[in-house]
Amino acid sequence: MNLKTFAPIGFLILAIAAIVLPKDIFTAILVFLMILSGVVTIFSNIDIFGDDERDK
Amino acid sequence: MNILAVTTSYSFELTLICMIAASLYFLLERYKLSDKYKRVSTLAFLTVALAIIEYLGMRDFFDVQNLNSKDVNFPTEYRYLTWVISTPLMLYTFFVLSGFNNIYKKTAIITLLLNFTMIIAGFFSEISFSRNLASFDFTLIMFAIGFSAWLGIVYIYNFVLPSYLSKVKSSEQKYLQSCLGSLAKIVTFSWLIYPIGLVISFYDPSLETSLMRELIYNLGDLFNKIGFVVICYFCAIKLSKLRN
Repeated sequence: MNLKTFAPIGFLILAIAAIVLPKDIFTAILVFLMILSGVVTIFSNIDIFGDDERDK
Repeated sequence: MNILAVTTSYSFELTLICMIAASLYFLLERYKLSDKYKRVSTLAFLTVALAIIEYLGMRDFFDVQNLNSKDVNFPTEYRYLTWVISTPLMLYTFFVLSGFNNIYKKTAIITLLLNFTMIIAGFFSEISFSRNLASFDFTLIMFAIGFSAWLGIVYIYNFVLPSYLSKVKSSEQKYLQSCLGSLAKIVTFSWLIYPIGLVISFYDPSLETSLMRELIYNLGDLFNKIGFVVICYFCAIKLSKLRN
């Protein structure tokens, strides 16, 4: 189990927590972590710099 | 107007900008794909470009005047219009990438029909509840139909398509398996936030919860739409290199 396995699950758990829990400063942290898990989901599944490395 | 309302309002702007950037990226980087996989770029572009038009509408809809009113209107119709157009394109992108759209046409059609059922039933469920157009039983029945259709898509992406992959050439199989694994996780876990958001709004119809749900839907759209097609696009680049 690596990071990319947990990221979509983390996004879901954080989203549920953000909706259900009272809306305060903690919600902002949850939203920030949601954005982070979304970015991790995408970037852990693509190979942006791989092409350049292969060309070299 | 509280900070949550302002943040939700700006989340429309954030999603819109990211979708414009993604659509331009798919167009400009199209040259990296071989002819066989150029349709992946086309579908990826259409998925995000058509969503841009709806997000322009939603952004204008969710303005300061609306946010300051006592009964904030939510762009439910716009949202479902976006989903009814972009989700079938997204799901079909993997079929084009793997070539399953030619070999397993029935599975592709069933997936698209399930997706259509999911969105339409979800729309009737949400609109009947939020506008008091029908009884709560009707809302729950529509929700159950939509949820069942989603489970069908989850089954196809987690069990049916992986079984088809075993018949693919071994050189391509590795890349397609990795791509499908990621897409299945997005469909299973990230898409689950939409029915959960809807159910929570049934039992907690407060303004704060609704605003939070809109914010999460925007972030969900951002990562699920762009993430889904960008993963397919990068897999297409790898497969194009194999062919060359």
